[in-house]
Amino acid sequence: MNDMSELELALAASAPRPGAQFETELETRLRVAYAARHTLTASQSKPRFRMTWRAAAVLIIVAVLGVGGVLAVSAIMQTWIQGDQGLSEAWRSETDIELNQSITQDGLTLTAEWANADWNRLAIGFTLGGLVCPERYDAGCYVAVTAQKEDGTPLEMLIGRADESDLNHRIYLYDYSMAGLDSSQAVANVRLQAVPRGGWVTGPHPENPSVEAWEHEPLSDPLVLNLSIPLSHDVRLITDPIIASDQGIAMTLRRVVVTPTQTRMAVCFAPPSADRTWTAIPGLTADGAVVAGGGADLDVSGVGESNGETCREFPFNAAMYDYDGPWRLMISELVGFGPGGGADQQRIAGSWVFEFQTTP
Amino acid sequence: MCEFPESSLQQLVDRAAADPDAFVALYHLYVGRVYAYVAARVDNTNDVEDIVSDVFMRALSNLDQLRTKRADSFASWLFSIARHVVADYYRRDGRSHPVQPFEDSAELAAPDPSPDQIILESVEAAALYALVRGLPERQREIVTLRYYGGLRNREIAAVLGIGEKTVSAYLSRALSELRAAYERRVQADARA
Repeated sequence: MNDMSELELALAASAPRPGAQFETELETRLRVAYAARHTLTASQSKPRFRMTWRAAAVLIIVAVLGVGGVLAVSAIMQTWIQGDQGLSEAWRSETDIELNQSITQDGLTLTAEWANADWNRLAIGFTLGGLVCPERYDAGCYVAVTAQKEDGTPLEMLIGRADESDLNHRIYLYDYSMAGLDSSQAVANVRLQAVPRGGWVTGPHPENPSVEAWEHEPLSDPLVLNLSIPLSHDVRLITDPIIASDQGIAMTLRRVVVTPTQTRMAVCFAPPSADRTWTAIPGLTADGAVVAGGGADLDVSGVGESNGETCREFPFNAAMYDYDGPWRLMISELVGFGPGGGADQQRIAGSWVFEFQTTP
Repeated sequence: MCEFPESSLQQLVDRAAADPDAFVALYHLYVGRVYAYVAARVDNTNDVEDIVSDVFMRALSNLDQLRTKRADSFASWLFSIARHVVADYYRRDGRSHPVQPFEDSAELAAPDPSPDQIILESVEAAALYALVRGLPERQREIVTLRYYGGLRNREIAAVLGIGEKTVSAYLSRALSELRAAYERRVQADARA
């Protein structure tokens, strides 16, 4: 075997690998989505329709104002909802709402189709129709979306799902963090704003010639929808700190928030070194079974942390609100990112275990 | 790379739209390759996992489209989706691709190899991976599609919409640069 083929073999061997837990969880989600896809395929000609009081109100508004369209949630959006254990539970238990609220402006139509809100997260499904990308935008067109509180403060986006396979009818389902919303209200009043933008390549990036630099500009005024989304107040909260130590590092589980669509765990620790940004790798089980829907990692503060502690919050998009059994959160690794980018990591393996129980 | 018999692969592809086990089998065949391709282009591990999830969810929702394009290989189709999802990721927030300078990236992940070892007998995955990440964008994409994704040159050409000869030219140049960079590093270590 010559040198070059050995280099090629070594290249193949250098490929990073996904974690076993991620691979298993994604398989589970794909199987759920596959099953939902077949259900949807069979029922697409009869889109789901539930006449909630709010949907009825929207329908009246639609009739009076002459805006809106067919009351239904897109098939792809249903697939996303069914693929998320927390949102599928909201769908099943009908705490969600079909909004079908839309606005048309400059030939573009923004439609909010579906939403669900609880103390942890707000999910909004929406579509944008009519966006034809002029040829001069050689970097393509996209939609910049924000959700804001009534006072204009933007909500933190947790995850976005997008299907832009039909550019003339783009479909999105975005999750936002409810931290910062007035959770004492019966509804979450949210302003959804979408700005279509077009981008063009300007040439090599001045700081890095191997990267293309591009600029972009709005294609229209913002499309804005003011939404009132029923807010679930079901929540279980643990704020009594639990401490675990390993590798000479003490870690504190400071807050657990369980809502119908999401469970969040906030852990705090003194960073092992000050020159790195530290996070942790969590694994959560409930009565021995892995809780699905993890993977996100949020910077959090104001959870009772000590001076100098860094806190990370881990959301799991699982429907665990009715669960009364034992929980076990295990942090298996601390990861410190240095200034050199993603590859510049310091990792500390260990076992920080928190066991507790939520009560009704 | 892909050791799966072509005929069996085609059977799985044919069955995938109606048989969840066939789709899941395809998922397991390709998830590692898609993950490696995405990880070479995106820094944050959480983002990589989100993107890989999105790729397979999109593949699932577009399975019917695949059946009408049997002439295209499944791999080309899947990696075209992956490429678009990565592009969406960068486009959505106006991010630029995180490319490290070639030499710097080699130093970042090099875990002190023996200086007298010959390059290809001692090559360490982490160091080589860092070198791949330091390649210019087009070369990096082609190298990762070829060696992480296991695609043939004609499949890469289909994914990128360029000619097969162009793919070969990029590959050849990238391999030369990778080899030279690694040799420079070994020599530098030998002097140290």
